[in-house]
Parts: sequence; C-alpha cells; structure tokens
Amino acid sequence: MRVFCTCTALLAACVLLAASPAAQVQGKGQGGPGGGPEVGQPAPDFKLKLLDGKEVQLASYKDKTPVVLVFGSCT
Amino acid sequence: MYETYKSQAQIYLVYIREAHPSDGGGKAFGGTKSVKQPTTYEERCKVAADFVKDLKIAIPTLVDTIDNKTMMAYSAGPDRIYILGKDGKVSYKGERGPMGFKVDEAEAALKKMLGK
Repeated sequence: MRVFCTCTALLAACVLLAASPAAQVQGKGQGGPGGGPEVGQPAPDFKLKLLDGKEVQLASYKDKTPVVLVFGSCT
Repeated sequence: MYETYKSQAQIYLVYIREAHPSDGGGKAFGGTKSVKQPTTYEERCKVAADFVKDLKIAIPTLVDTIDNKTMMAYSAGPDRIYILGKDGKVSYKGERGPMGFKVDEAEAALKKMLGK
C-alpha cells in the first residue's frame, strides 16, 4: 500500500511538474538527520551537476529568483 | 507546474539515492523499475539519465553526490519538495514522502509566494 501511495505521489508530481508522461518514482529510505531546514531558515547551499555536466550552485540564485527543489529517485 | 512557473522560479529535480534498490535486501516491490543502489556517482548519473529519458521529464535534473550530502542536508529522502525564496531561506517545506509529498500544496505555496 505504501509503495502504491509513493508511486502515486511521484507519478502525480512528475505529471504536474513536467507535464510529461507518467513517472514512477517511489520511495522511502534515509532522509537524513535533523529533519532538514525549517521555514524561515537559510537553505543549505550545495553545488551539484546537471545531467549535462553543468555545475549549479544554489547560492547563485540568491537575490535573483525563487528555487523549487523536488527530491526523489526512480525507485 | 514546471511549464507554468519555469520563467518565475528555477525548478530542479534533485536525483537522490534509490529508496527501494533491488539489492537493498528488503522486500521486492512490484510495478516499478528494478535498480541497484548506485555505488558511484557515475552510476547514479546513469540511472538518473535513464529515468529522465524514459519518462521524458523536462525538469532540469541535478544529481546528488554519492555521499548523499544534499539529501542529508535537506532530510529529503525518499522524496520531498522545498521552495526557497529569493532571500535564500526556506519558504515552503513539504513533508517527507511518500505520504507527505504533496505537489498541490507546494504549487499553492509557490503561487502565494509569487503573489498570484
């Protein structure tokens, strides 16, 4: 049941976010300690690569544009 | 949501560790892709690229490092949505998935933040 719900959630997310064909992303797992930053707290900076290899640093968006982060995996 | 807001907000999919890898030692789940837990960054990139390609996902996709640093910093597994304001602070923090993964709620928060 949980798997179904998870698939449904990410499926809906991908359809709504990307207006693309159905996605199957589900999951549980290790979310990380501490519960993550709360509303009003600074977002932890990161530097990650896009699939094309281009590097993105979160801090570069400060004072420019809001950022939406959708975390997930295909399982 | 992505098509609607991509000009007003930078939206990223952040590909993190597999929640239900086939080699996870747990119960196998049906109806989803069978993927082993990547052990290298390159493997994770390959899985992410296949996923994006197979499902024609248009959202720019970032890949978390193999030490899961960003996932851990945001406590973002197995899935979660954050919205960050221009000030670099968290404006919306969704609950962790699967049950807490609510796109409608996130979209409403984004609309409100954008003044729509």
